[in-house]
Amino acid sequence: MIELRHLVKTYGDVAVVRDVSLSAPEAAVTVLLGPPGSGKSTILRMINRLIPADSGSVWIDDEDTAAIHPEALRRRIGYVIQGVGLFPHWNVARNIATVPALLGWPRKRIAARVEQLLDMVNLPPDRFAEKRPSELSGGQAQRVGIARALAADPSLLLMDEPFSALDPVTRRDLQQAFRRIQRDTGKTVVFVTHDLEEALLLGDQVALLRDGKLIQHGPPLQLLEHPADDFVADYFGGAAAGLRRLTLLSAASRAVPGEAGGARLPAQASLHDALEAMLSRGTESVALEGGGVVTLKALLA
Amino acid sequence: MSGVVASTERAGIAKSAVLRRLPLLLVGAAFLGVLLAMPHTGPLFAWAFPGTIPPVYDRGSFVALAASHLAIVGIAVGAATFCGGAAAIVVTRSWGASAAPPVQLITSVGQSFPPAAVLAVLVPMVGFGAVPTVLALFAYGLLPITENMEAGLRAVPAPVKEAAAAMGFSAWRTLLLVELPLAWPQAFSGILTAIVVSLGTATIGSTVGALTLGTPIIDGLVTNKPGFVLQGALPLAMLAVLKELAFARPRR
Ligand SMILES: Nc1ncnc2c1ncn2[C@@H]1O[C@H](COP(=O)(O)OP(=O)(O)OP(=O)(O)O)[C@@H](O)[C@H]1O
Ligand SMILES: [Mg+2]
Repeated sequence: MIELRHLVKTYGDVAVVRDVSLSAPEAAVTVLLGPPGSGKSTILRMINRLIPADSGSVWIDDEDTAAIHPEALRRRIGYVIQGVGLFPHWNVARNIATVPALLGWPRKRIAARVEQLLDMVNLPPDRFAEKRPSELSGGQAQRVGIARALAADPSLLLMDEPFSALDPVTRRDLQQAFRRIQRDTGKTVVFVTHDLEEALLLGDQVALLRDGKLIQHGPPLQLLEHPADDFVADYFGGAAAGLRRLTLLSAASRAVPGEAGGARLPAQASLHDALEAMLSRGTESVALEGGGVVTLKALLA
Repeated sequence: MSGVVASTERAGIAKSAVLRRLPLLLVGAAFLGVLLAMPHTGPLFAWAFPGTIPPVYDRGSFVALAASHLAIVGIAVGAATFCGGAAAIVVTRSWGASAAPPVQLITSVGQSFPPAAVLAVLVPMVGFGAVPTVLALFAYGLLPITENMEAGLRAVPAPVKEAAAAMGFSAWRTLLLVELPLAWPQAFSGILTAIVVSLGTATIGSTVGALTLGTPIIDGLVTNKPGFVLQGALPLAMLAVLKELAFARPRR
């Protein structure tokens, strides 16, 4: 668990982070969401002490990070930086191996790990291991950056807009892959984005920031259904909030016994998927794998 | 199969590298040959400039003159690389930014006086010989070396430095493993500039007693022996060609 207590950061006379307290629970994804310049990256950098806080503290598993040597702390925390920052003079494999090499892993173990990670981020090792960062597309570089952050299998992961340079399809693929890996490995993640869809898709908890202040935080559905003020309501889509809400609710939760024609939706489909299926099929109910149907009436309830 | 292809490919690359270097090797060999043959050209110069005794400069071997010439350049540029490199590293640290104005002042003063003038000022202070020459070349080389090294270090992208810190690199490790390798091509071009300028400029050190390939020329001018001037000028001209061949890099 990562706990931020009354964090404050000021540049000159501009307060860019103002008394932010927040805890990122174990094995969950906490999304920092907010417009550009709201202080998201600054908060992330204070977590691994890349920059010092003016006041306040960060606690990891009930240990004050101020008491941990900064370099030791950073080797424990995976970090995907905004702007990727691959080392241009090293090939992809060497980039990914950065932290394991720093930790003194044996060569064989490093090589095996690099291969495994390249596979995981969908870059075939035989084609990509030897490439220089300058030979990669923006999206490929971002994936290498993610692999590099995961290399030493840190239990804590800080990710600063890791999917921003990707095309929508790759982006969706990687978001889903990331979510799956995170659930499987139980990593504690603090994830920065200014993309609402991404926040709703990935966040167990969303913290909305504006001008360095934490405006509201909680499960995405809570922010959507009970916005604390107009800013939150606006940010969460105003008129489109209803549709967004459907993406967060599972179809199974509204299923009733019964039968319907057409292909069955996967058991983990959202209500949004169900509505989509009804619209495209021109029906008022769809069946789910594993039994039950969702009706338009139940969906609107 | 693929191993065979790779090895012939590698041999091909090695061969083309040798071919590219061929003019350099040939001129280098000719340069050495001229240095070694010079003492035996007495009859030739006696015929060309009758009455000059001795016909060939003989107060030191030409090989020794060339070695001294190169040593003077090497020491001066080496010292300038060390000091200029250190200064560039300091002024690009967050704690060293305030050192930038004095460093800039010193390096530009070092280059704003022509080496001949610096020699004239230094001799009364440090005496004759190689020392004032080394100091003059050092002062002259400081600017290109420091400036290029600093520019190279400043050009390292901020996200790359941030990533290094975020991975748990110490400031030292970041400097050694990330910043210096990335700054090196630019830093190297500054060092090359200093070498090229110094190889030519070292010659005038002979006016204050440094042993260089310019020594026979000065000697010949002072004692009115045109043969000596030629004997110094020939290897110097070849050195200039060597310099071009060694340091002119293919333009992309
Ligand atoms: N080193 C610095 N010196 C001065 N101001 C800074 C510095 N770093 C950040 N800031 C300012 O702090 C504010 C917050 O920056 P931060 O990078 O945390 O924003 P962000 O929420 O990550 O924005 P984005 O979505 O654009 O990445 C911005 O107004 C920025 O200009
Ligand atoms: Mg940011």
